[in-house]
Amino acid sequence: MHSLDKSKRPLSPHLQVYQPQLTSILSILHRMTGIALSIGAFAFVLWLHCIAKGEPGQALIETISSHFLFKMILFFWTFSLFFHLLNGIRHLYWDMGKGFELKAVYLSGYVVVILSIVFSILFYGEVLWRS
Amino acid sequence: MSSEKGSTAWKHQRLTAVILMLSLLFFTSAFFVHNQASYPEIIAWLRHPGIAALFITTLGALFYHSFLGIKMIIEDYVHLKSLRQVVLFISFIFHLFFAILGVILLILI
Repeated sequence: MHSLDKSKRPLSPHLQVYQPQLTSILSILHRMTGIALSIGAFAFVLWLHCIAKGEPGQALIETISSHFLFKMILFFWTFSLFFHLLNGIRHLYWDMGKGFELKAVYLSGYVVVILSIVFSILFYGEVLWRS
Repeated sequence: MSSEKGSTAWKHQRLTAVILMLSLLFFTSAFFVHNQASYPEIIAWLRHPGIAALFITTLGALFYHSFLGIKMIIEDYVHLKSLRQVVLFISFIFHLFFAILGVILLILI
């Protein structure tokens, strides 16, 4: 046993052998959107840095934000924000020991998915697309 | 010992989550209201002491929440102990640097 390399043993969570279900997908999505939002937080500070720099920095923001690729990333960030926020509320509700019945878990899961899509389309369309 | 550390991180993760929920609600609605604001207007708004205080609190909570979340993911997926410690340290420095940079920028604005 000692000859087995400890680092090569499979460790939980085993994503590669897990049957995908709504619950597990949302759990992974919570982490993925969390990572995206962390990157977004760093980008936000850089945005603040550009604003603080005055004219040249603000011109740089205009250039970047008018790019199609950036608009796509911004939409993904918007979705990440609403999904992570709503699914976070779901997690806090579970932390209080409520909503654990299988039906409730699936229902709240679908509600989170639908609301986060609706909210991100609304917010992106109303606020971010125009500016 | 380690279980105590874990539960503290767990509590802090939730506490910062609640702070972020409330402040993001405020800032996203401000986005709706000040939709057409120009850069000088945004800067003037950020200079308001109440807004600045809330902004700094949000920034602190955001980067702390982000650090705790990323730490959890690193601990789950980086299995080699020495590498894990290096990655955790880099993540810590990044979060600390950007949080401080954000606060300084806001004060200078």
